Amino acid sequence: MRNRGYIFFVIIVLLLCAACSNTSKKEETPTTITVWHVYGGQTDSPLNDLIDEFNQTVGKEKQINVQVTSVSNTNTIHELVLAAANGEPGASELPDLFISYPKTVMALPDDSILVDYRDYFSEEELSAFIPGFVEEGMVDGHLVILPVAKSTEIMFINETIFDRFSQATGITMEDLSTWEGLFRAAEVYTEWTDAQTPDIPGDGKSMFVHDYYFNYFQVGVESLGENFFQEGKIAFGPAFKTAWEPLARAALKGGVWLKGGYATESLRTGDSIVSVASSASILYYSDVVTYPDNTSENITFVSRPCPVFEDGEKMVMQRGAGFCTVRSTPEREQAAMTFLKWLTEPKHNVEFVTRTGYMPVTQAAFENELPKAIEELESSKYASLYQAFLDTQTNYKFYEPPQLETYLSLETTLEENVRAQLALGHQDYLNAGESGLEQISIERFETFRSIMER
Amino acid sequence: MLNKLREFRALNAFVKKQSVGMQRKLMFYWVSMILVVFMAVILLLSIAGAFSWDDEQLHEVMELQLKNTQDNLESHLDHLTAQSLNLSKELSREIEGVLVKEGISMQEVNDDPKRLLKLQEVMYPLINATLQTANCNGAYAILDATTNTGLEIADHSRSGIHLRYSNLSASSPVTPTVVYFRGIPDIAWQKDLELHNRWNLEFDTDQIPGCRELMNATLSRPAERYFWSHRIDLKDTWESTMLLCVPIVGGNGTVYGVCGVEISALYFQFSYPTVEGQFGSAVTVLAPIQDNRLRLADGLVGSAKGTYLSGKETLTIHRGRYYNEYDTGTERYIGLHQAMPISNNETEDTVWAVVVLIHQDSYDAYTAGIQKTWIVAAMGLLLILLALSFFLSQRFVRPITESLKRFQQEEMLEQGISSGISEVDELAGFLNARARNQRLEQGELPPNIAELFDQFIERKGLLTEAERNILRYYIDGHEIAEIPELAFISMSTVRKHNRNIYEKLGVASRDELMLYIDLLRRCGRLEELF
Repeated sequence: MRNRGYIFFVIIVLLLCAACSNTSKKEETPTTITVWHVYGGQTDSPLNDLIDEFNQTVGKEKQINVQVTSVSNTNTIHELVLAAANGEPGASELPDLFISYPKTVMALPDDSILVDYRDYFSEEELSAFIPGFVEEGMVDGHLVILPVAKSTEIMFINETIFDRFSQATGITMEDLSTWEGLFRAAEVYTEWTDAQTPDIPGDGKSMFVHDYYFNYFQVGVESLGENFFQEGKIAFGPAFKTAWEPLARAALKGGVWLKGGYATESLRTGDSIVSVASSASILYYSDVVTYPDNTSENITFVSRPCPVFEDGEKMVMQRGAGFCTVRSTPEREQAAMTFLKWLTEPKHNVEFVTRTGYMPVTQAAFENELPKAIEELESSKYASLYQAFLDTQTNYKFYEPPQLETYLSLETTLEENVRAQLALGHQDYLNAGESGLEQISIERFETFRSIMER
Repeated sequence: MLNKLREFRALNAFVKKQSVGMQRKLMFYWVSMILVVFMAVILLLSIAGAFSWDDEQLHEVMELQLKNTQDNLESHLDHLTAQSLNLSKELSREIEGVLVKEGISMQEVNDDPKRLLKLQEVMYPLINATLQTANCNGAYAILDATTNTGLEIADHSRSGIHLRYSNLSASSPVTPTVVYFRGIPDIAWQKDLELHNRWNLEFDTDQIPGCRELMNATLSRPAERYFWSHRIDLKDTWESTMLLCVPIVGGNGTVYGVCGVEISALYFQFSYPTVEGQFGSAVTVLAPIQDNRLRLADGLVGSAKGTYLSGKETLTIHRGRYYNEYDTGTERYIGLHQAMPISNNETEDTVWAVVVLIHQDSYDAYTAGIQKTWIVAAMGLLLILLALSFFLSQRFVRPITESLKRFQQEEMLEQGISSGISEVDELAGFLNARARNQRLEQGELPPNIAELFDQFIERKGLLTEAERNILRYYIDGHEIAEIPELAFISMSTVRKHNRNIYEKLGVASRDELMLYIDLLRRCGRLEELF
């Protein structure tokens, strides 16, 4: 009997050994997490450089490899995420991390596919963030968007050409500090450029382009003391008209760039010289303007705080999407958190934001790292941006758009229609002349309003 | 050393002198035999290649993987070449159409933005159609003309259109977003296309090595000479790409320009994901080999999931029997490669190859796992054999030791011992017989005879005094006839006593009685009868 017991014991030991020898072969390879982000678009991406740094240091140590599989814009990511989340045919697989505004999360069929950051970040870790930024990431009681960088709207000016314009017409940059002044200047700019080629009438250029006219109206109306939204729709109060009039007047005269695309495009081709856009678009502004005859001109960009209405409060849109993490395996989720915690450490966060035109998201980064980083900025373009940033922060009230389900559709419709109506109005103006201006503006506003209220 | 050997021999001799238990000795023989057999099996297995089986299997898997990848890639690139050649022919027809209509030559398009726009307007639909239908992420056409010959950059600035996808991802391009990378912006605005963040009006042909030479060549047809460029960085962007350059050949053999498609590093990454296998993640690479070095920075690398490949490394190739080793200096990869010509009529001495790479660490982890299993299995087998040898030797020796024990307890059994082992039984029988003989030699009676004597002597106590007297006369050698006279009794009384004596002592006749007496005398026990 004793022998049998002995053999049985040996067999058990062998089975245990065999069982142990086959475990966890896969642990050797790094955990690869994929990222869709918006920091860099089609240009050199500073976030990609930081991701490389992470992969070579902490990533190597902890066996994590972060791979960027799309650098796009929030609208494209919005479409891709919704297609993937709804399982539409031909949709991509969701990445582990993607950049999103709350509007994307709210449009998701099921937000339980996203990690609640409170599961991975301690109270103490979250308290390091600026409280308002964390609150913006809360959707339906879950913290699903982690802020990594915040931006605001800034006015960018092609100073080289503006100076010429200024010398010729007496319009100064001070005139651009109000919307009324800016649009008056735009009218003058069109006349001035038209006059430069007397043999070709009606070829005046646009001075101004806004990336989001939706933001112009939204912040404008709010700054004039009215609510922009009413029951999920646009409230067309008197303030809306106040905002419409100077814009329409300049646009009908040809002073505003109304074609689709981003503000950077017309500034790149010299078709406009002043834009209001996200501070983060600084990355996309080229220091060179290329004209139709293939001549190029090196130019200087300066940044100024966003214009305000003469009778309005100094108010500006606060922007900046954050990272969402898609639920996967605990290893991958943990790897994503390791990367996000690394990215939001004050040192890395400031390095990241100052290269992309954003503001950091933690108190420590704001207080300790940012001033040092601003002092060390070599590029005058960035130095000017951060000066404008600081001016904005001191003098402006930040406006955060509400979380509305209709937000995105309202934004898309308004963008399309305001450009279309004003472009049509411009044609009408070219036909009718100065005398018809007032009437065209009213007609186009009514058409625009009726489309928006449908 | 010699001393040690001497010591060892002395120890061995001492051990030999020592008496060793049978089981231990048997066990020792078993173990020796098992070890010899075990070593022989291991030797045979290694000669038969059982331990290099992983390498062979890896070789087979990688060869298959390489073949599949090569087939895919070849067919992919062939399709792209065919579509680009087709694009070239259609562009040539359209361009010629415009030139004929305008009554000008290609050179006369220089410095004429309006005519260039006209040409680009006819080129755009063809380029866009190629982009939409080919498995690529960009399509372009460059004309051998520039908007402004008066500029310094005029010798390497050429007008053209370059369209690219901006929202690449693994499987999405059902509704891809096309961005306008190069070209006259009016077309982008007409077609509602977004200008690329680093848009430019014209191409810088210096960025595409070989492009100028192709434009300056005189060719009869586009397929005569075309090539894929090395991977080039798209200026001011984070992307890099390989361009297929096909000449746009006019009717008279002049080259109007160059057109083709692009495969960016990112697109290739999505198109060729890693293949997860038992040995690790296999990465697909298409890159040139120069001086036995694989230059990833000039080629394209598929998804590098599970490795640390950044796509910028130069790997030194060490050829091996089953697979090659590719060394970055800090990281090692194993894999196979196969030359694959991708260009036509190119003079460069670079060999392009399709490569399948696996990170050395992941293969090592796999083989270490297998080795561990082998070692554990071999140790297990050895342990089982040792346990078996212990069990068998114990079972074999047990009857012997038990018999021995019984011997020691002097359980001498007349009928012998049945141990189940004939030799042991024989030995026991032999030892029994010898012990018996020894006893007999020492005057000892066999126990049954001694018992008979004992019983006889015991029964003597049943005799009366008179019968004992008569028995004594017999012991003294007197005959029956002499008894009446000696004992002063009649003959009939003697006979009566005789009958009683026989009966009481259990004998049948006087002869038997006398035999007992004689035997007792011989055994020296006669006095016990008195």
